Amino acid sequence: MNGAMVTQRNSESLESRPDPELMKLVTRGRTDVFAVLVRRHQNFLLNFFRTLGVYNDAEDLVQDTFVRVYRYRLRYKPTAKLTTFLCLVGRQVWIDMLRRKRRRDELNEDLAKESQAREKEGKSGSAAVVDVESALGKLPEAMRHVVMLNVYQGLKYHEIAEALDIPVGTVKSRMFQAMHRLREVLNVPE
Amino acid sequence: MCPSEMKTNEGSEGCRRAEDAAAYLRHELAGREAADYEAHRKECAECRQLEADFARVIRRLEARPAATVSRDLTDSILQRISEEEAAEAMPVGRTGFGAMLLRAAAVAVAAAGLGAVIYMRQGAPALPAVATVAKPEAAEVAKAPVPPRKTEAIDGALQWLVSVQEPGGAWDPVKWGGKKEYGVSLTSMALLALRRNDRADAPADQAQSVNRAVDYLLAQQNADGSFGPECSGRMYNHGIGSVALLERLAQRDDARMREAIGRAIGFIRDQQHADGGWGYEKKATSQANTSISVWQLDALLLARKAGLKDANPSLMKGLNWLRSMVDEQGTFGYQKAQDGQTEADTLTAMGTHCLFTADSQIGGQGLVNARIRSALRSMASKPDSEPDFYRSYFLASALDAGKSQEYSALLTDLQRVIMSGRSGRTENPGSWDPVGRWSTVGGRLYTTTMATLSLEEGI
Repeated sequence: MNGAMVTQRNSESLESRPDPELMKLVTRGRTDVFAVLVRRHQNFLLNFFRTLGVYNDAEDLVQDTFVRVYRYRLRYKPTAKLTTFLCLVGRQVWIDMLRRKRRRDELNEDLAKESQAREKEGKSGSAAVVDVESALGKLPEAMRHVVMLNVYQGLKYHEIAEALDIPVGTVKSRMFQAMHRLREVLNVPE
Repeated sequence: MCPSEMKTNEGSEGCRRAEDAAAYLRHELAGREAADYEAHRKECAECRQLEADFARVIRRLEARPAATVSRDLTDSILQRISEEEAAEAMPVGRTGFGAMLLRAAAVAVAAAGLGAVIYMRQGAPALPAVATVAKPEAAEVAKAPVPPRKTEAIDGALQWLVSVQEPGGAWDPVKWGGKKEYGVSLTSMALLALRRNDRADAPADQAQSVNRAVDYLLAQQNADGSFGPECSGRMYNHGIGSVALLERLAQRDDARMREAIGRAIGFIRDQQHADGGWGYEKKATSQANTSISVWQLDALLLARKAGLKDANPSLMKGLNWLRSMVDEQGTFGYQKAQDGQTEADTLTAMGTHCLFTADSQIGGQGLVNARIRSALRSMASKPDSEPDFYRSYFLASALDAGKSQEYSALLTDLQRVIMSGRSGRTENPGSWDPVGRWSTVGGRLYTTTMATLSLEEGI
């Protein structure tokens, strides 16, 4: 069997392996395997940061998160979902970014840009998408995080609790309140 | 409708089980809870209607397209990882200008390594199997230095501090990259670091250094009892200065210090806001905050311990205020609960350190509850992206004061990280380079004193 076939078979088999198995190889320093995980989850992380309201810097934060995940790869426990671990680290990266914005007016300026970027994204889609963006934008931040992580990131309540460092009961309550408000705002027909 | 289950709640039409409707829809109920709700919904048209409505909401939400990256980020990420690994393999300190140069030099090595990985992904036929190409063998990489033992690190830092003390007893912040107006704070921090090394075999010059620092601080006291100049950081100077002198008083009581401290405590009491906290200044337009209040409370706790009874009313009022800064998750806010999102970790470390100290000194107050302990544990387990010596010091203090095996293990991990950040350069041996948060305010004196104080916790 020549090297090309081995390489191709190895590459194909990596793509089909589950996250915990790949992370086990990553803990041994396999950056080639880590590359598979990056490609698999970079969009997930991008949408996670969008959930937190980051638009312009989201791809930078995705990179920062993966670099940090690799650095702290030994802390990952295979019993937990990798996506939850990514959210946990991603949230910390997000908080560190907020800390680095030392001047309040710089932060406000960025927040304004985020809001404009979100509005622009909303306007570029169909009317239905605009409605959804607008409705989500009307939710208090805490509720919006929970509903977006559940609906768009597919995280279970206990995973959201871990990622946001809040009790599961709080997740449940916020999800309900968010659904109730969205029902009103979206004017969901019978 | 289930009349027996009516209540008033946001989002509820009246049924107590309404919150479960969303959870049921999202398959979050299990076991007994699921069975109970299943039985309930058969009788409750309201909950069934909520489920149907929420299902329509979710369908509308799901119609929103997910975002995708504008380009594949994999290569950039692997490049950064490769550079980091190459930099860490270099046998000198990780911080400072020297380390930056080495990281730059490591890029060429990193790029070669990355090239191999990218080539591999493209499936070039001449390459061997994936497993053997990913990383250099350990023997080919220069070993990083083993971190020194804690006492050696502390001794080295104190030696440096003694060597750079000014003849008048102060430490000059400007000389070491800090701001002039924080001279009293930084001298006080150096005094604390030296004072806390009260081993019998401590070098004699350290005791002399402490005495000179005390003389300097006492000379900085103003007529109103405050320490240091009129400036925005005045309350920091005063709080930290008071703490330093009170700790020295506990070690060696004398009338001169006691008199000065009495006036200093009087100033703290005068500056206390009506709500019990302390802020940058006592004015109707300013607000109390956790960061300044903790230093004043630390001073009042020490004053109480020293028998200065007039500290007590302010102390109890202040502790109640501090306790009101805690949210339902156990984290501390800056001017009110849940407002310190970007600094929540540091504020939580500060607040927890203070409340633990108060609980142990005053006893029976129950100031630290399970939520605060949990928040501390959670915070201490998270990695930090950049050095934050201020946070680390208060975290170390809180973990030590918490008195548990778990906290002790977290403290050891934290101190290991701090020790690994010592400057590896021959210039200013024993110190920590001025990097990370607040280093432009306090300079090398700040990073070194805070790191040393962090390492002294638990001894």
